[in-house]
Amino acid sequence: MAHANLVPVPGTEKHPVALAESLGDVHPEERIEVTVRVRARVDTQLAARVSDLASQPVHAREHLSREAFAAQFGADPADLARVAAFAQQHGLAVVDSSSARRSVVLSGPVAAMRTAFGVDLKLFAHPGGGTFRGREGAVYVPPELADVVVGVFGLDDRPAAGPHMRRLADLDGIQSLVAAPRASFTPSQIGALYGFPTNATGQGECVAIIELGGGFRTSDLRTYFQQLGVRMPKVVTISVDHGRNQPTNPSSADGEVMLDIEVVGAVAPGATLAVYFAPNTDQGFIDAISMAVHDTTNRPSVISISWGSPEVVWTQASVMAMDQAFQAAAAMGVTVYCAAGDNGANDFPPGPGAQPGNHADFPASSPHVLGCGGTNITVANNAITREVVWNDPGGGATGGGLSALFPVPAWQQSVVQGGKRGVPDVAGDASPLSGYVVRVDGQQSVIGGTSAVAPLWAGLTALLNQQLGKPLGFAAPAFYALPPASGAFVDITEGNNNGFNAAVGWDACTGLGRPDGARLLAALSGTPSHAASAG
Amino acid sequence: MTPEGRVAVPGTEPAAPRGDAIGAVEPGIRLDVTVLVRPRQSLRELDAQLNAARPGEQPIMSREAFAATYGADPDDLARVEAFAHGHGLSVVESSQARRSVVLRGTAAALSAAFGLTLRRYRDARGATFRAATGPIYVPTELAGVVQGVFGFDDRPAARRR
Repeated sequence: MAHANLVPVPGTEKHPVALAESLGDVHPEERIEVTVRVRARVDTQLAARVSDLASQPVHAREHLSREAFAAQFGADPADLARVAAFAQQHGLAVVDSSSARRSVVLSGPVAAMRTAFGVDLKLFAHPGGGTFRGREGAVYVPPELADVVVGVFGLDDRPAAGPHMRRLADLDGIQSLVAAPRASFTPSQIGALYGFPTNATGQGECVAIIELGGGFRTSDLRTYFQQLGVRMPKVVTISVDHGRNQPTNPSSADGEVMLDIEVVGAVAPGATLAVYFAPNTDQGFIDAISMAVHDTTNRPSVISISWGSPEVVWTQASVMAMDQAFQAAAAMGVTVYCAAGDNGANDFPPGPGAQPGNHADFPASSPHVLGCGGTNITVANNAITREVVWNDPGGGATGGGLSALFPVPAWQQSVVQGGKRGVPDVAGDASPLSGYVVRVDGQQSVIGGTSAVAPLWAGLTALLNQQLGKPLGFAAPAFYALPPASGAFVDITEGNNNGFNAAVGWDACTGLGRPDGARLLAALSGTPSHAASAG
Repeated sequence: MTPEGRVAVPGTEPAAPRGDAIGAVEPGIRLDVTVLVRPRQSLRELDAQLNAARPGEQPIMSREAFAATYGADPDDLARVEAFAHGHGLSVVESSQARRSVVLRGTAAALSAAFGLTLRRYRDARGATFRAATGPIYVPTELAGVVQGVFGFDDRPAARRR
């Protein structure tokens, strides 16, 4: 691609997607939209201002209104005009222009975009299914825009830029990662490696799984469990707010749904799985959780949630509604597990809309659930020889950190410093490089992510509930009170999530650690029992 | 500016940043919203109990007992339903256990009922969605009864992990 008279925009380099198959050029007349991000009007003053603000007590701070911020730190209208002029020269339409967000959205045919930004756009088949538009190397602009434009998004629309569930084949092609040693395990193998009780199946228990998209095919489940040599679990679906079981293709949320069902089902084949489908809105999420918590037909004793967002994007009302539903679950003896996130200490996926800094995930940060962090395991001779914090450069890292919404609960105070609720509480294998073998839409696939850890723990809890003869219920106080000598948790002390470090004891990457199932059961059995079963 | 005779429901201010407004919402489209109603008894005691219980000795309530104790007061549900009927909204379902009333109506009727304006937006990633421009307002007699109204904002709430 000719770059004559153009200069690269730093930080825009794209690498090939591993195992993607080239399908040729993108149709030159196809209309696409790109977001051109523009420099801030005055960068240095903003940093100083924020630093001043941070050093003041909260009550004394004077915050900028959005209008004032845009006026002072947004894009200079002259810069926006430069981008608009550049667009016009290349036959691109300006769809949107925002000083506050420092962005200009341009629409136009691929042929014009290629010339304007000096990129080749090709069509690829994604190894996980579906096609995407991809480019390699940097985005280019004319020299007069070199300092003005700080990013151009949307030319390349590969799926790896979005979802947090990590298929092995999704990993961006950073060469060291492509060559990294990798292994995959069935959920049953993970259960065996983690010492899950072998004489339990979860019989009599119901595990609820919340899904905000995607679907499953019964034929896929049948084949999967047959191949696993495990009895196929009973699966029921509940529609919430017109949500539907709608399977499509392997690169969709079907991967999440299949991962959740197959992990819980493989670990606890005797349990009934109740899958609640709702739209991916705050209303859908709240209503699905509420439905599962108060479900007097299925009466789940465990709930698995592998969906979440950075704390700061939720309204207070939504947070309260969900947390109260979890509190109700706790009161009714229902244990809730939430994936802690796949982007490390900053739960925002990189790209437009991301906010800098550390951001914990919600609902994982609710004090009434167990947040689930991730590890990477090395296995030899059917035993784990090494287990570290999940952090694959370019390939995801476990969420975790300190909540900005919730103060430290009483039962966490002895191990979490800083006065805030620490996330996660527990951990399990999550790296796609030591990922889970699953079946999605007719294809075998390897999937990781903290998405896998919530259902893993949910399945384990179904086993525990069966063996204990009563539901574990609000588990956090019990877990944090177990003496380290019990061996119920295997501490993870190596690694970091790009914000926090693993340490001896509780840490904001892996919580108390990953489970030793048999020892956890023994330790919990030792506590005084009481008569009641989950309503 | 608070509409007369109304109070804002705390915590319902839309989360920011949001995106650029790109237009109005078609007033005739039909929407379902979920109204969350206060528990009949305060949950503060419940949390104290949950946190004070010795591990493994936590008292467990049946779903029926929980609904009877902490579900919605039928009078509160009736108030919300009456309010809905008075504003041209229909009641799709009402749950004491889940403390929720699902209301259906046109965007125009729902907006008028809850004192808000709906707009369409485009976010930083180019996705479009619908949201209210400000908090939810309810008549003073529903202040404290209604804890939230969900469904006006339809942007994707979560990503899978």
